[in-house]
Amino acid sequence: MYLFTKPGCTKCNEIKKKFNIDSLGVVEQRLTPDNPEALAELAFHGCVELAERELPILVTDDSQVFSGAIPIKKFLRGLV
Amino acid sequence: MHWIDGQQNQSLSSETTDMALFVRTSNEVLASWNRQAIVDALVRETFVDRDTAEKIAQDVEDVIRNGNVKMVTASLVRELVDAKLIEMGLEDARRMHTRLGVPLYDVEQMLTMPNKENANVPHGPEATNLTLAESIKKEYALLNVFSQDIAEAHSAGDIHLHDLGFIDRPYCSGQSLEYIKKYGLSLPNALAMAKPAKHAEVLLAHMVKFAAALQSNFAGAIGWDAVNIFFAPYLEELNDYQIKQLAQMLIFEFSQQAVARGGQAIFSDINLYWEVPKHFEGVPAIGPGGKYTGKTYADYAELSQKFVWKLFDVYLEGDASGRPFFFPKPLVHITEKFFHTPGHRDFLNHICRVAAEKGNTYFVFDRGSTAKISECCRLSFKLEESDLQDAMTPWKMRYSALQNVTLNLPRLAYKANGDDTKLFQLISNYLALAAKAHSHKKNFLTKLLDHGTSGPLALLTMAPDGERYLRLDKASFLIGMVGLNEMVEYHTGQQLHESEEAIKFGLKVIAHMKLTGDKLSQKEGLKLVLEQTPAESTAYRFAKLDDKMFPQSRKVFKGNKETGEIYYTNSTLYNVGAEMNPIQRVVDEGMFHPLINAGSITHVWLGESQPSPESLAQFVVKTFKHSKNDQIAFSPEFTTCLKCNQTSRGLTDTCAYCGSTKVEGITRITGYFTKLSSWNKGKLGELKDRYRNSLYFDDDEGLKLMSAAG
Repeated sequence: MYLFTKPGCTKCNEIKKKFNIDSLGVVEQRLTPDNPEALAELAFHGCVELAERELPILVTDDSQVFSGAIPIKKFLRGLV
Repeated sequence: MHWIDGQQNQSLSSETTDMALFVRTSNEVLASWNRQAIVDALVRETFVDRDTAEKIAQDVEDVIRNGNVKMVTASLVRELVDAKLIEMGLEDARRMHTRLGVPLYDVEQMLTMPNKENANVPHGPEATNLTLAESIKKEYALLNVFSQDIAEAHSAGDIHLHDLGFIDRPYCSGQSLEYIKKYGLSLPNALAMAKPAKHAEVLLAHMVKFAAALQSNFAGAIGWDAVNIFFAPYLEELNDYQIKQLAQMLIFEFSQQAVARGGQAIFSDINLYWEVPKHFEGVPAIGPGGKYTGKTYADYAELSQKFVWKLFDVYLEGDASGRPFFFPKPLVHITEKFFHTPGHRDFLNHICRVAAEKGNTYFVFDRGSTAKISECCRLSFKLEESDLQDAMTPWKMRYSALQNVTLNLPRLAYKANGDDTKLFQLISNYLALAAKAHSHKKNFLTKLLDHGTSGPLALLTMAPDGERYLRLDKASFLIGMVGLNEMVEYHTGQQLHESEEAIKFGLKVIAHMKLTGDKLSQKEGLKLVLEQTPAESTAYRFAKLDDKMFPQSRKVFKGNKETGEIYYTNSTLYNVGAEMNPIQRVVDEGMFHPLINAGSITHVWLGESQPSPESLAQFVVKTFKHSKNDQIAFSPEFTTCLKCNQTSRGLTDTCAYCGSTKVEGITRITGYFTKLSSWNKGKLGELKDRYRNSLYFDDDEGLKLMSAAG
């Protein structure tokens, strides 16, 4: 699973603070100007335009997409 | 001994008329030998001191005397002087003293053989003029506009500077009819000024003439935004028959304009909508005489729908021989609102019938709140917040790309030789070089524009609305790419369609290009954006150069080495010959599109297949809803008979009606239809490789297969 975040994003920090994402098998992809890999992964999951409007975005292993803190928290709570 | 052509005696004047006249009459004028002319030219044009200049002049005179030359021309003298400068190690002076021109042999070739760099240039005296002028301007650009490192990178094929022959103009232009509706046709240096049109036919005449004027000031495409919507206030008094007539006139006027620059049809695009898009809904409509009608464009929805329907009626009929119209290209925007607008299903079937039968329709997808104006082969200008505010005064919505610079991606893979770090470093380096090239072009154009309305780009400086026609601050600078597929293939061992790893590596390359481009934009103060290069000739040029300079390219370039029909795959497209489900191709290629802000397209090659409008409509809806693809077009193939003038489906050697072998093939070369006889070798190689999708479009079974993938 990938969690797409960017620096300075309060909601992204909220998710990372609330959950131990490593233990849930979530890999953080930080969208920064020096990280083409993260942007490529975002494009692979078809979420570039979504990320322009809203972050964080969680993409699950079966390609479900959750955007925004509340839906992501709800989904991750189910895994804990 | 006489010296023909007294050009050496000319001093640099404020205009070139005298010089041109003098040169033209030089065959009759035999000026006396004048060594001082050489000295004066060297001192005037280079930094060589007078003593050195005199020595060179004396040496050249000796060579001519001792050589017993019977006829001395200005170009011979200049060549001898240049040879002397090289001998003395004065390379910079030689460069400054260079004579731009074309060898006799090349002129002979140009006069007799067609130029296939651009399939939209016919062969004729006007086209020859264009080619000759372009060849000199290209040389000038490489010597005098760009720095040596950029010129060398272009010549070597590391990068491609597009439209060098049009160095003194921007690349392309997008605008709306509102400019001429509001201000009429009052162009600088025009012999007559026209007030705003009062009738639809006059507005059409203004549109066509303005497009021709713009073609003289831009290198490439001329795009028109929301044509059916902005025409609508002029249609109120017209009946259905008259509206159809107007639609017919519009399409024929643009498709038969092969009488303009270089005999070239204007590369024209018309953006069309079924719905009135949100950003034009509340805009006060301008009607006959340039006056506000008191209504908004939302009030003209019905008339604009009637007009766009009739336009597609005309596209469906084709020309007198039943061939598809090559221009203007109809770009239909599919927005979220489209699906909520009454009649959209019937309209979608209508434009899909045109797509199936003639191939004309381009489906441009504006998802979410995206709005854009599209043109050229796939270029689009995404409208930002400030642009959407301009929509209230739509005559201000004028967009331009100043230049296009393309990177030869496979070559970077050869240079990196499997080393990731080196590869990405090379991409960054060449992007920086492309940004520098853009900066040089901008400086050059700014110099020309600063001459104002008495300068060479007068039309672009006219400012009836208080702002120059060319809004330089809004201009984009395009960075293109050729051969992502071959780069990935060489670097990873797999082509884009062959594995997820290959796709992800390709995406990383494009993501790196986008992020580096964004950084360079900030650094250089230029709006650098990625565009899928149409690469009509660049894909061939790069492959040919790499064949010579990088033998390892033979492992990956496509086409037929034996016949010389070799090419790289355009931009980020997948191998055209890959046997992929078309829906899968649209989805997969579409993954790249959100990273390429200035436009992308996926071609669905139909060959002889003629799918039903309903199946194409389903395909279009699926593409909108289940992919990120920016634009698609379906491309059938045709054979038209030069003897009986009938047109049949598919590419054949003989006419299906009369059996004549005098036939001409027609299909899309890149983003537009044209005749195969004008294609370059690389594109002919690609045509042979194209996977036609007949398995999916010929019968119901195919449609089921496609649906399964979707």
